Amino acid sequence: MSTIEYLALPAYKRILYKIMGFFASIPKAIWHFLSVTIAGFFVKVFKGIANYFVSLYEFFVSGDWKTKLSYIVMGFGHICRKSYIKGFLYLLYEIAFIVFMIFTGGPAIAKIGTFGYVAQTTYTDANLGIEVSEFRDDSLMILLNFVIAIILIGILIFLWSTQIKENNELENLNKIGKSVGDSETVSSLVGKNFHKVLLSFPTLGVVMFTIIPLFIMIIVGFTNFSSTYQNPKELFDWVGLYNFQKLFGLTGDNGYQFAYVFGQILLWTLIWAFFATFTNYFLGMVVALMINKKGIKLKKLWRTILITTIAVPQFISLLFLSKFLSKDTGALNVVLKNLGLITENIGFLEDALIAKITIIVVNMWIGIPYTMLMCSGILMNIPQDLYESARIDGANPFKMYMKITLPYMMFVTGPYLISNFVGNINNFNVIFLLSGGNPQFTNVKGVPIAINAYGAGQTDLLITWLYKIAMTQVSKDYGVASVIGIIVFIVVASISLIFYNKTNAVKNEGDFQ
Amino acid sequence: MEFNLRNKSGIFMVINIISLILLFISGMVLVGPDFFQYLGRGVHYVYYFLFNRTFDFKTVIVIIVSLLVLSFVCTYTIGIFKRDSIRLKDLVSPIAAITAPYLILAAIRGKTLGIWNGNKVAMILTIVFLVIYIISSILVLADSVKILRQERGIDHKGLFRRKKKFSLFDNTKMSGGKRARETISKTFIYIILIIMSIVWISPFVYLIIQSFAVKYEAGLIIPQEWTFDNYKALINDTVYPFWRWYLNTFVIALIVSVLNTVLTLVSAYAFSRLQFKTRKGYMKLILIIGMFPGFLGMIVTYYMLKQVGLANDIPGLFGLVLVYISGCVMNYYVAKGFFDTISRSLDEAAMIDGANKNTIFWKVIMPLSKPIVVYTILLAFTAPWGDYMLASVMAGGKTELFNVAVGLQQMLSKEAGTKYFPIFCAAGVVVSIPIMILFFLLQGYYVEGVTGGAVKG
Repeated sequence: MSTIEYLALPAYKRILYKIMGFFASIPKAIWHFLSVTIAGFFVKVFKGIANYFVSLYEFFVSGDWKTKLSYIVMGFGHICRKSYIKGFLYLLYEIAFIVFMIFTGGPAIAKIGTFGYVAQTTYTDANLGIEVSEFRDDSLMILLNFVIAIILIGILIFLWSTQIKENNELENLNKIGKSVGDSETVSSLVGKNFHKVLLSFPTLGVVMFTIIPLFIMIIVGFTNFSSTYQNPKELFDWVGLYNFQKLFGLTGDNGYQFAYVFGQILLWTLIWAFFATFTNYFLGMVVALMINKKGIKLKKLWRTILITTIAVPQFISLLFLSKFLSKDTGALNVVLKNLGLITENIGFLEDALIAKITIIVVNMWIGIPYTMLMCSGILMNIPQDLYESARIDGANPFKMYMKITLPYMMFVTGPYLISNFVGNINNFNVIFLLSGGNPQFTNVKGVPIAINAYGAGQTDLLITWLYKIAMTQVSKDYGVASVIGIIVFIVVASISLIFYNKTNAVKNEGDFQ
Repeated sequence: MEFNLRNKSGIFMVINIISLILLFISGMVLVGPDFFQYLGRGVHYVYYFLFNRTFDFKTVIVIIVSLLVLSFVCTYTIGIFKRDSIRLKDLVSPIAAITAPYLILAAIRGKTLGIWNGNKVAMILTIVFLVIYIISSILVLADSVKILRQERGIDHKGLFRRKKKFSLFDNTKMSGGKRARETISKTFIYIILIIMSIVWISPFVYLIIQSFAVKYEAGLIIPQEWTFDNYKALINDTVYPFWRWYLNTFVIALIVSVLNTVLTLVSAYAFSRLQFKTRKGYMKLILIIGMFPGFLGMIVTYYMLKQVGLANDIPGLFGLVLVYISGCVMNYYVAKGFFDTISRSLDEAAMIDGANKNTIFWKVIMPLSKPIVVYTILLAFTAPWGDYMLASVMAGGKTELFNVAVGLQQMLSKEAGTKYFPIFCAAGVVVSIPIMILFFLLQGYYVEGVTGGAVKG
């Protein structure tokens, strides 16, 4: 369609055309992503790695005996060339690595195929004459040590190649009669290498408490780790894609129920994230516009009243509202009844559809003040002359909102919207503290069918379901929990990818300086 | 016509005294011949209300003395004794300030005891006179302050400062049709704002009222009987040790707010100002890690911490602190956005003067970053109060290791939830107060952080 044809269309058709265009471009975008972004990435990475090792080979050939020995004894060249601190640190790492691999890492890698051989053995103690049980292998510890070993191997390769490169540099410097000693190493910590000082602690934290656990949990997704296999009674084992099959309803006679529950929860998660994000965003903006309108008095009062909601911890309001709205003992039902508006109690949190609406409304109650605050700050930054000229051209307030305010806001807050959407997909507190995921799924006859679905309820999000499986259910099927986590990641990642590429504000974000 | 200030005060005083007399008369009609007896027993009601006990002779003396002290303090603060002469109307205000709340309490107590007879006219009149009495008392009080300040030479126009006439609709400069349209749209906005304010505030008012209730009754917005027992139960209750949860959360929040702020700002500075090869890759890695639900790794973290003994006991709280601060590098966005806006020429100037990067960070960047420092502290301090997921995992089901969120959720979720509802409300008030004070004090910084964070993503 040419531009002229497009402009000749009526407004609604233009919107339809745009929407169609968006969906039509998805396959292309995905293909582009797979072929150019991912494949290109791998090609680049492999080329880089290959070049890197070629250069390491060249250093070996051209280097002197000190450099050559550094290929086996890390830091040897450094120590010989008066850079003692670095040299000893490299050496120390190598020794620590070897010790770890001999005592813990090596056995863990050897046992990872079966997660250990024997969990528990009982034998008759010769001296005491009674049965004694001995714990041998602990599957989770084997997995943990395996992941740590893999990460340490990665660090070893990195350090090894870095020290070779540094050795080469030192050698070249020595040739022209210069050297880099310990004083330079220390002073670079507040200069060239200051980032290493600043980021070492945060990185250590992230690696230990985020990255390693994440790796382990992703691996757990392919095992049958659950409360029955918990250490040290029994071992757990690889099950391949069984957990994925379970989630998609490909196992057993009642498997389809699981798939049904999963599908419903996924759908509700997306619907919830959509409504929670956009109702808050637009209504918050409207409230901000109302309060900031020229000539409206008591601006501070209105704002303070709304901010109270942010100041009171969220969980208190949520728990309070869960009681306030409940069907049998809730105050709201009684008040409505006394006013004569209703004759029977409404299940604000007990009836599936009403519960979903209630949750979205309560979320508005919580979220609007926040958006209001954010928007009022940005709204004041919109250049007033835009409105001035629009007014002279005869635009009404609604048109000015649609053509000036909204585009400006969308441009500026695009990234916020995406991160908020993602945040809502993982919004645990609102759902769990308000409805607890209830009511349960029922079949046509009203009988709960969630027996096979680990206590999933109709207002559960993926994240609260994950929490329930791992925490409140007796079976604790960590395998399925982990698969749900992986699916959350896939959903979040694909949404972020699609929309980040669509917003302009993100593209130059990194280069803002 | 302009009132003389003294005249105005005199009018208020006359209204005040007349309304008090009328109040007595209508009260007599309402309660009957036993009125004065009940008025005397009002002290009893106040005591009952405050301490929920029957009283004896000693307490009467205590109350009378404390009332005298209160009136002395009240009078002294207004500053009557510092004036040349004491006039009658200067005594009206402190007396009114004490009697008004007393009368209200006595009225409420009288209502709950059922000593009011069915005379509706008398009841309405009593309430009207009471309201008039209270308002005129406040006005007299305000006027006394005003006169006093003028006598002292403070150029100040009383409690109610009025620079110009206040009007919600300030459309005087507009003409005909436009003015009408503006008025209509403003009325509409005001109505919406008032309705919103009611919707937003009423749950909190209800929460505060319920925290004084003896027991939860769904139908009653204002409870039949009032008590302080719920607040006492927060310390005394053996099933739910609220004070323990409060202490846990408070200590954790304090430690986390300090450590988290330092680490977050430091990593944000590194990402914003330092050029290193892995910078962009690192930021992308954080973005990708952030897409996994944080809870996923938490299960393993729990087992890991259990292995080294940092779970399931008092050390478990430190385990929780570790978990909270371990993820701080993930929150660098907002602070980085702020650092990006500080001009780089400052760094360069400092560099020329011989400062290294460490000095630049602490001596140049930090003094300019007060808003973002306060914002980060505020967020880091409030986050542990609202966290449910991680805290519930780390507690491992042990009641004394809960934080307030987990504990209060447990309190309400059990069968006895309704029984514990008033205690929950009291706990809610106690938890909210410090955070609210902090929040309103630092509101400006918070708004700045929120706005900046949204723009930078």
